[in-house]
Amino acid sequence: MTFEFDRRSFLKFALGGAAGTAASGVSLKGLSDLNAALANEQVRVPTGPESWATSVCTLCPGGCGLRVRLIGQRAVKIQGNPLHPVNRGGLCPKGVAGLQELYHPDRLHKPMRNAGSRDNPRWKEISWEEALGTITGRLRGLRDGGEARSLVVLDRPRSGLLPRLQRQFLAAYGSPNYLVMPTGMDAVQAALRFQQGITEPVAYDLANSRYVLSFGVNLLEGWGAPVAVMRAFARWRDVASGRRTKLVQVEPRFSITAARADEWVALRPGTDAALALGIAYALISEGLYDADFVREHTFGFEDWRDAEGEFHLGFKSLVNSEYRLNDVSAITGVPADTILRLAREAAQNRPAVALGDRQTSSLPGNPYAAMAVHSLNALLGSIDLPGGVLVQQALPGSNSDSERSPGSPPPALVLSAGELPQAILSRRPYGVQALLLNQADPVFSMVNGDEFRRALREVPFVVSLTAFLDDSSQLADLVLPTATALESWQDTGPPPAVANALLAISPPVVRARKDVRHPGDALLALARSLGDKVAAALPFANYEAYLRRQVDGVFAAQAGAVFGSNLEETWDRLMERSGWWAPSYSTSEQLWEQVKQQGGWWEPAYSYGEWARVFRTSSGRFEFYSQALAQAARQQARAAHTGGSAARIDDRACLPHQTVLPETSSNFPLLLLVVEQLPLSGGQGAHLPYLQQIAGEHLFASWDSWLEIHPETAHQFGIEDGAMVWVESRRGRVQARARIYEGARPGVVHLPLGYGRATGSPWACRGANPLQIVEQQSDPVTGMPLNSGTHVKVYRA
Amino acid sequence: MPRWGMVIDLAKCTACQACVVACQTENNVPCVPPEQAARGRIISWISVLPQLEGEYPRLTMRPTPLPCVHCDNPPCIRVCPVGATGINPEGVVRQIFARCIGCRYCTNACPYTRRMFNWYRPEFPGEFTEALNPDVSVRPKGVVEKCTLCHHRLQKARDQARAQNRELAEGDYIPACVEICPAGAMYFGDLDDPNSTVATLARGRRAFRLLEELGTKPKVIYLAQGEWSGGDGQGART
Repeated sequence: MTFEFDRRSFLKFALGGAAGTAASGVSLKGLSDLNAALANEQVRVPTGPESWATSVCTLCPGGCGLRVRLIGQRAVKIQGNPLHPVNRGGLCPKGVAGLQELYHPDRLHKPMRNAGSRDNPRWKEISWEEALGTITGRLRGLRDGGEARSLVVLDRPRSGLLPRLQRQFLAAYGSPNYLVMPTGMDAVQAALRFQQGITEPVAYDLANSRYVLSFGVNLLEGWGAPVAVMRAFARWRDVASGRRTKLVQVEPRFSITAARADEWVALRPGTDAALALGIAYALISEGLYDADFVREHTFGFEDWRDAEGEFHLGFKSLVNSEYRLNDVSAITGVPADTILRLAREAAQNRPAVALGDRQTSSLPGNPYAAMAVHSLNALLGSIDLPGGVLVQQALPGSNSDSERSPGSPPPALVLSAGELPQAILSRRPYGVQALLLNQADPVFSMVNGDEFRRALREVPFVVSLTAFLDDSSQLADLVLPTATALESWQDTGPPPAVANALLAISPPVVRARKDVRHPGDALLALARSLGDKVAAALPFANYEAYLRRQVDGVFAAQAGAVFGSNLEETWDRLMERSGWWAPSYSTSEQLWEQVKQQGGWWEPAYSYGEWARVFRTSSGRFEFYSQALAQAARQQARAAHTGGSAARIDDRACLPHQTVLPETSSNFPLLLLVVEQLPLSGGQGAHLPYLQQIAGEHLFASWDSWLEIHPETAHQFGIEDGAMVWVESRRGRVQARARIYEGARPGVVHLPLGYGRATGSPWACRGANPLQIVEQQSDPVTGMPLNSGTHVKVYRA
Repeated sequence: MPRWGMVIDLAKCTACQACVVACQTENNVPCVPPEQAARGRIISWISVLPQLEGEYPRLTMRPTPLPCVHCDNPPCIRVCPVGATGINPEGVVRQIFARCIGCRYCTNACPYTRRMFNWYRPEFPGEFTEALNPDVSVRPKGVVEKCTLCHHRLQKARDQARAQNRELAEGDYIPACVEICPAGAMYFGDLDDPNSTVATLARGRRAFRLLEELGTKPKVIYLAQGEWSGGDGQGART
């Protein structure tokens, strides 16, 4: 006999019938009332009428479109804007968790002045008027003293119009020093500069690629515009389309991207360049490369002689002599037949595209490896064609003149943010008197954070614009609280790796919850109070007015379309390709209203094959042999040999090649590679509990950093799963929980980025910051970063 | 009467976990403190299970988003002593939070581990209460909670359809997880309507259900991820 419990029989059984229920005084109705009362007492759920608003996400440079659900004046849910061409209604977990940023208990309330010292800050809340007054006084003093150039603005990577505003501000003020924190694209960007003469952002037509060779690029873990990449990934696997795009992930570690790829090629860390050149060798030796493209549009493929008749090594000879299959196999640990197969598959499944080299947002990649990877795109004829590597379209209305100082501008202090601390500490080429950190936290998120810490102490006046106290603002004189995305006017431009020009603009969705401002508003107020040339250059009452004016430029371009449905996108593109432009607006005012309504404006069509636009090298072609690098090397040689004896430069320094890897030492037997994960992509997001809870999903390792270690390696060093360990390099040591992971390569360990802040929300201060122990090696010949990992030892804490 | 079901295409899933967070914000699921998280007490009605197998370098991971699979024959409802859980005529396995006495028989009976117990008072630090969804109650300490297929959304969609004097159409009612999926890997609809997207996909060769052998008859159907089949232009082998 089966005995089935249902509610009635249980009650009979337990309480002896209906009488019992009544007698006990706890009827089911009573119980639910009790529970309801308990719930009410604990949490009051506010109510109100429902409405929806459009906004954009600013938690990463992806800039997805948002639809925000409002109950009364409160935002209660963030969803994707189905009209936004970057995300089309989808969102990554970060975007959804953005709600916790708005209501975060640790947000800054008011501007603060440091009443203590740099080492021992004591924060005193002040008014915006006082804060802006202080900054105005300082900046005026600098300008009047002829030291305008000593003002530096350090911005976080972002798209949209705020960078333009900052450049215009600095130009009018008289400083050339606008710097941006590094992104995960810097090495690829360097390759584009050397091989295509391009400084515009690189873009990929991933949705149309049929074969994707990713050299360690964390495609599904926050690279580029994360949702745009995920949409492309879904399209690759859309059975209805009838064919599947193959994703090959080349990477030492079994990452989420590697796990989701069609094939994972595990290689020895730091040997990506060799593998790419091995594939190039196979393409060339089997005659599989795009000979037409190479003949018409490239330079330096064959050996060549310069104007002086001097012989130079060509790309073909280089790979034929140094990167034959067995050699490459020995360097990379990848079987020769795999290399050959990858080459054949890529050649047979065009458009094929190669992405890389691996890098995280905080660690620069190796430009030579990126050049090696990019050379594959030239061999496969995948440059500026559907499914290949593109160059991002410029936003119309960018007036570069207003972003430059009039007359002859002073020389820039440094070329990249990483060099800033050295310049500050050495006062060369000149000192820094004032530093404005615009939502940038270099002390935490730069590999030379400790150098930044020292440098910030040396700068007489440091202002930090930020929503939360962070490791860098701790060293500032003034902290200005910034508004979160939903509280102010927001704008985003084309996100990283997306080709189409785009401008998304959205009004505030909710009233600001604190006494906070958008950085644009703060900057414009500053411009007004500085008066003179700065006020004249930026005569805008607020950031909204500034955005409104920029839309005039978009209108004047007479192209593109307001965000619309998928169908409209296809239609607009078709029209534009056939030379028609039928806008939904006839005045700039109409465009402005529609942009606010729909979320933005964009250019749905990309003109492929505009060689003059994408090849701006001295040869007007793609350069396997970079003449820009050759020129730089010659200049360097001339400077060294005072007098300009024609020092012969090594051809290899101008060609992609595998750099020599640093030697291992017995004291530090393991190699540390820092990894990124989507919830904390770019090292950002640890202050949001929703993201902490889903972090480390493959190891169930939420809320804390972990050290991934292969079971054999763990056994070798006597480390158990879950044990606290020290990870020590020559630079220092950090503590983390060891987690045994089959996906870690033997002899290689991994720490995730984004944990271990020293200051700020307690949630963000958990775990360890691997950047504190990472060593930044550079190529002894060229000084370029190597990004080949840090040698460490691991022992029980 | 519809029979609600979900299809998840494992070929398209990127393991991003947007579904997890979208569910939590939609359904007022509190974040548990880190110490409790370490004890496995995170509440997430849908989780992405990694499913790692093999040895370096021959590894596979099949990240699988797993909500309550809303069995047609649910083991959890049979063990509930107070009738706090049941299956409604539309196939939704629901939980009446206010009736639950917290015995956790159901959490043990569920072979998919999709029932979560509230060990503590729900906490929404600082101003997080402001983000709560008024359509969904907050569960008190001591009760079991689970995926409701965003049932409040169904009620709303029904009301809306009624107000417009029409039948509920496909796409009117979609749970938060399906709606947010950036890869469009999740589908939702009426399994009994042979023309619905979910019914069509569920009939396909790639379709399978988790732990089917238990006879639970889950209404969450997965599509196998298949593999690249070479450059013959024939596409995914399924």
